[in-house]
Parts: sequence; structure tokens; C-alpha cells
Amino acid sequence: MKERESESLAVAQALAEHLRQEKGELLPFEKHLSDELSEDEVRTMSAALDSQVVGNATGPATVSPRLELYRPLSDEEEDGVLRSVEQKLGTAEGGGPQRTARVVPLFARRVLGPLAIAAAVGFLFVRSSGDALPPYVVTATGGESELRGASAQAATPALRVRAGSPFELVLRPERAASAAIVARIFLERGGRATELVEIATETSAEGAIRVRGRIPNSATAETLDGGALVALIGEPRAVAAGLPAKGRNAVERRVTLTLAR
Amino acid sequence: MNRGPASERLDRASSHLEPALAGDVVARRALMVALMPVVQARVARMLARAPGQHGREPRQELMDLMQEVFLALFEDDAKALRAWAPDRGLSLANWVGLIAERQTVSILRSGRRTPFKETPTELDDLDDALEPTAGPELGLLSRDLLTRLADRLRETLSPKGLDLFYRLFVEETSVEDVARETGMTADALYAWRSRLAKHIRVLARELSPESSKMSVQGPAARNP
Repeated sequence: MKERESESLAVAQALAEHLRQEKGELLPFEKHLSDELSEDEVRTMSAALDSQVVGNATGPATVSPRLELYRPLSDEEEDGVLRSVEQKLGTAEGGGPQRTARVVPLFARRVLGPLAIAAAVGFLFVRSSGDALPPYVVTATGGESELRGASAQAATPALRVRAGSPFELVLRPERAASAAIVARIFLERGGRATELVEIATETSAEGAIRVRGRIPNSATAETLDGGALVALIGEPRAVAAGLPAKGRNAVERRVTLTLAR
Repeated sequence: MNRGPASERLDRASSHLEPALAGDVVARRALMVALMPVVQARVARMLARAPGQHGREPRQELMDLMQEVFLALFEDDAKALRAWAPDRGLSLANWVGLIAERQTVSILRSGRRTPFKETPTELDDLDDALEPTAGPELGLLSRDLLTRLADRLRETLSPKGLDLFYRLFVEETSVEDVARETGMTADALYAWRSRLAKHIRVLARELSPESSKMSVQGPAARNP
């Protein structure tokens, strides 16, 4: 048993030493790839290595092919690699369909039952800073109980929730928008945002989006009280970077949360 | 697109990851550009051990294999990239580098990519491979056999296992330092070290049917 352990260690160490030696041989070439050594310097260093290590595979016959491998790719060569990969992935620019952001099509992951309790409804016109995205009306329903004083024209919709509470957001454009608009939903508190991925979304041909979800069961009172649901709305590319919304093709809107006790 | 030096590109790589995974094709392209130097370095490392051996023009073979690596990263909803966990002490570049080595070895050996599995060989699986192996002692491991052994290790270990092999054996980092860098416990690392060594011995036996004629020695002895 001891002998076997000893042999295992010896083989592993021999392999490790082999890899260290291999790395040492290739180091000048790797430095060439990162622009730290010129080709001439690589040839000089490889020759020096040759003289130090008998039986080394590095030599005139291998230096030139290795330099070929480690010479940084030109822009044209990189473009060739990129184009080929994108074509094979089926999503080259101007090509096939793009995946949308993390939101999932309605019913794809979880079908929520009817929201039993309508607690608060808020309307808000969300205007983008340019013409690309039309103003959006946001309606929030769900939660645990009706919020007193919540008006239909409240500047900021509000929901009273606890962990597991269902909610529904309807994001409706003032005028028809692209059906490619998507929404990502975040739970935010104290400047820290967590995306809710277990949501169901449905997008109409006019760009209206209905989002159904639940407050995560893991959410704590501290997370929820004074926190917010934040909807990030826009084309997939515009919302891909997450919060905060950037540019005129993405907008965000908050739904204030209070803790249902 | 601003490409810039390799080091600056790699610094930008992780910032492109999230939007790329969310489906942004522009970010995906930017991510590939950022990772291009590390993918080239790792593919080149695998090819450079025997340049020209595969009968193709090295530059073209390099680029073909780089394409295959990128496809492996993004196929199956980018499962390989999504499996990267930044809090486990491995940079995105190194994670991608390990996958690049594995895919290159697999293609060179079998002609096809290996579907990514987060843990193709985990610690428990290593145990399974450790049934008592009868046979003579392993002997001198030739440079060629060690190269093939390294390839088999790359193929059979998960990126995590391979990373731990590099840290514990190749870089000879102490268990305590690896524990601090990866968030693993020292006990878990000692178990990994022991089982990695046994796994390597099993692979060496598979590759070395005539091992009884040789003895294990260091590289200096291999190159008298």
C-alpha cells in the first residue's frame, strides 16, 4: 500500500517536472505572443536553451514552426476566426435569430397560478431619452394586501409583499414598439440588485410585456422592506449589461416594496 | 473594434461575459476578441510540442483549433462559460485556457470536441478508478509517454481537477495557500492531492504496458 502511494507520488512528480520543463521551453514563445519578445530574441533564447538542455526538442527545426504558432494573429486572421465561429453558432451579425436576455418566454419555466390578491396598482409613464423606445405605462399588481393610498396615477407603484408573494407587472408602450423588446426584473435594496430569473414573460406584437413572478422565498425582511422591484426594459442588446439602464434604448422603472407583516 | 495588447484585452474579458451570456452578440464578439490571446497561447502550447507532426500548415491548424475551442465555449448555451465561478480562485482567462487545452488535446487525439461537463472526473470518480491494479512497478517515463500522460490527464479531469493538479504539483503551491486561493479546506485538498496522484498512476499504467522494464526518474535522467 505504502509502495503504491510512493509510486503514485513519484509518477505525479515526474509528470509535473515534465510540464515545468515544457513550460520553460515555450516561455520565450509565449512572451512573443504577448509582445514582450521579438522574433530575434526568441531565436536567441531558444538557442541558449538548446545549449543548456541536451535532448531538448527546441532547435532550428522546431523554432520556426513554433514562431508560426505564437505569432499574434493579425486583425484579418482574428476576423476569420470570429466569422467562422459566428456562422457556425448561427448568429452572425445580420444572420440568424439572437437569443434574448435572461427573461424566459411565458410558461417556459414556471406557470404561475392566478394572482389571488390584487394589492396595488400603479401607473407610470416611462419616457426614454430618445425616440428609439416609446414611453411605457407600468402596472404592478399582486402582493399580500391592498396598500392604502395607492392611486392609479401614483408616481411610483408600490406593492406590499413577503417572501413568496406573487406579482405581475404589465409594461405597455404608449405606441406600438418592437416585439423584440424584453424586460429583466431585479430585486433591489440598498444599491444591490439581484435578478429574478424564475419569471414568466409574454410579449405582444406591439411590444407590451407581461411579467409574472414571485418574490424569492429566500428574500428576507431586510431585503424587502424599502426595497424595490426594478424592471429594465429595452432591446436585448440594450439591457444585456443589466442595471443601471444605459443609453436611450433602455429604461428602468421601480416598484416600491413594503413588507407585509 | 479596439483590440489592444493581450494583457489589456484579458482585463476586459470578464466585463463582457454577462452580456454575452445574455445573448448580446456584440458582447460575445468582444469576449472572443478579449480571450483570443489566451486561446491562441493554449492551443499553440498543445501544438508546439510536436510542430508539423499533424501534416498541416501550423498557422492554419492553429486557427482551425481556435475556432473549435470557441465553439466549445459557446455551444450548449455556453455551458462551459457559465460554469466558471470567479470566487474559486481561477480567473476567467485561466478557466478558458484549461478548456482550450482539453479541447485541443481531444481533437488532436480523436478528431472531435469533447462535450463540456462541469465535473467529468470529480474526486468520487477518481476513487472509482482506483481499484487495485496488479502489475509491476512503473518504470522510467519517457518524454513521449509523459506528454501522452499529460494529454490523458487533461482529457479525464474537470477544469477544477486540472487546476488543482497544476497548483499542487506543477506550481508546487502549498496546501495552505491553495486553500486560501480557492476557498477549499485543507483536508479536501489533501484528499485531492492523494487521489490525483493515484489517478495519474492509473493512467500511466494504461499508457505504459512495458513499464516493468523502466524505473521512475526525473527529467535529467530522461535526457542523459
